[in-house]
Amino acid sequence: MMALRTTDYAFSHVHVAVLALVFGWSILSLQPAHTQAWYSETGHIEFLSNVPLHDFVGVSDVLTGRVDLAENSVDFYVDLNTLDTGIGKRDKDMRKTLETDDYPFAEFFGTLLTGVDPAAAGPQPVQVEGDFTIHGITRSIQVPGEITFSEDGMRIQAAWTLLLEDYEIQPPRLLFLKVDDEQAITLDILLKPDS
Amino acid sequence: MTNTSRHSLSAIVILLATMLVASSASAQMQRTRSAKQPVDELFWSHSIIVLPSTTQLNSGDLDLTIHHTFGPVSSGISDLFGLDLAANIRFGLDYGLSDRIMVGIGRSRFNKTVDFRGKARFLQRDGWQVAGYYNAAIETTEDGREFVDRLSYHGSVLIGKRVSDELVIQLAPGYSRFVFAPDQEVFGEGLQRSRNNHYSLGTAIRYEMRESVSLVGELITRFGDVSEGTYNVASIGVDLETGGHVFQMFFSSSQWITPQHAAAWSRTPMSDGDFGWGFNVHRVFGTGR
Repeated sequence: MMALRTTDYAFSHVHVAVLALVFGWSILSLQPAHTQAWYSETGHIEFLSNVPLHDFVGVSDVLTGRVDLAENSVDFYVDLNTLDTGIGKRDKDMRKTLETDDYPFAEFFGTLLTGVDPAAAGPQPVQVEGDFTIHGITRSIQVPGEITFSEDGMRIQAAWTLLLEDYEIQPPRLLFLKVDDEQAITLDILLKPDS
Repeated sequence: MTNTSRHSLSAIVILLATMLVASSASAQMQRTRSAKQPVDELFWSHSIIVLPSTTQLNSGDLDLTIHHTFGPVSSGISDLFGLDLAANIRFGLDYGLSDRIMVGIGRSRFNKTVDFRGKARFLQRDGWQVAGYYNAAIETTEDGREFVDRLSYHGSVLIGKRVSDELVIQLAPGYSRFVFAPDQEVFGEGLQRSRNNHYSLGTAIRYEMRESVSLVGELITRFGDVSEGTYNVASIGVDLETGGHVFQMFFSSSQWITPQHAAAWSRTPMSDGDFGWGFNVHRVFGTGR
């Protein structure tokens, strides 16, 4: 009698678990009528450094981004080891300054503060808010940008300025010239529907 | 608690867990590092002291080098420990044709030597780097020699290995040839026989003491029949890395700068401890974009 009760109890657990899983995944599989999530890993990002008489730009073309309009989430990151300043020695200096072995990514995760219409033509000004992390330091920021929908996908362009000292980054020196504390960041990425 | 309530509780827990997984799946992306990572260059510049290193210039990089070696320190205070004596100086330009191939040209004061050099890296794996190096030089002193008699060559295989985060070693078996190698009349020593060919093994080490300071040392050991009155070459120095520049300050038993001249013409025995002071400066410019 005892053995029968145990078997019956175990069967019930399995039964409930299967039902729950089926129900949970059915929620997962609910897809909206229109594309709501967009993704790319070939975005372009630039970090402009100002040095007297000697500005230079660190560029990467492997910016990864995902925007989910249904969840209102905006997620970007770039591997800082891919930044190319045009001089190998300077790339190495930049990696050393950013301590990329310990803090490999610059990343942003936040939300859209303004709504966008995927059916609208032309650029739509947007504002996003979220956490930007670099050099292991996270700060809440707001970034203005533009979103343009086309047959090619969702294009996002944005620009903002960060202060190195906010992220405990020691501005590097080029001989006796110190890199400016302000870094201008611009990004341009074409997101495709994320299946 | 009854079985029914247990089942209900289990269902709720599993459902919540499933929904949590479902919601997190569409949240923040998993961060993954790019497949293209920078090469871990073993040395801070493409030359160590006299020997070339396995380090390459990046594609489109242009490196201006100034290499300066003074006379022996043993000359004393009257010659400011070698600074007043004839110095050898080489101005050079090297260019990265790709991330694996670089070429260069330079001109040294001694024998008014113009040299052309090239280096290609064949292997980069698991802390190992293997490269081939070649240098062809022509001495342009006005001494009536035929063109071909002014030529010299050096070829070597550079095998570098990162032993630890701080320690790097390199071996460089090499061959040097002078088309014309006249015997030398040396004061007090008489006529000393010269050889056209020299086989050598270069050994080098770099130890990173701090983020921008490394100790470097190298030894050029010749084998077999070598020119009389010439010696192996030892050098030791410090590399200083600053934004855009690498400074190398060193003591060397040879004032020659090109590898074939150092292998064939160094007349100071390192056993005497008679080293001369010198420095290299590397300044890299970008031309890629």
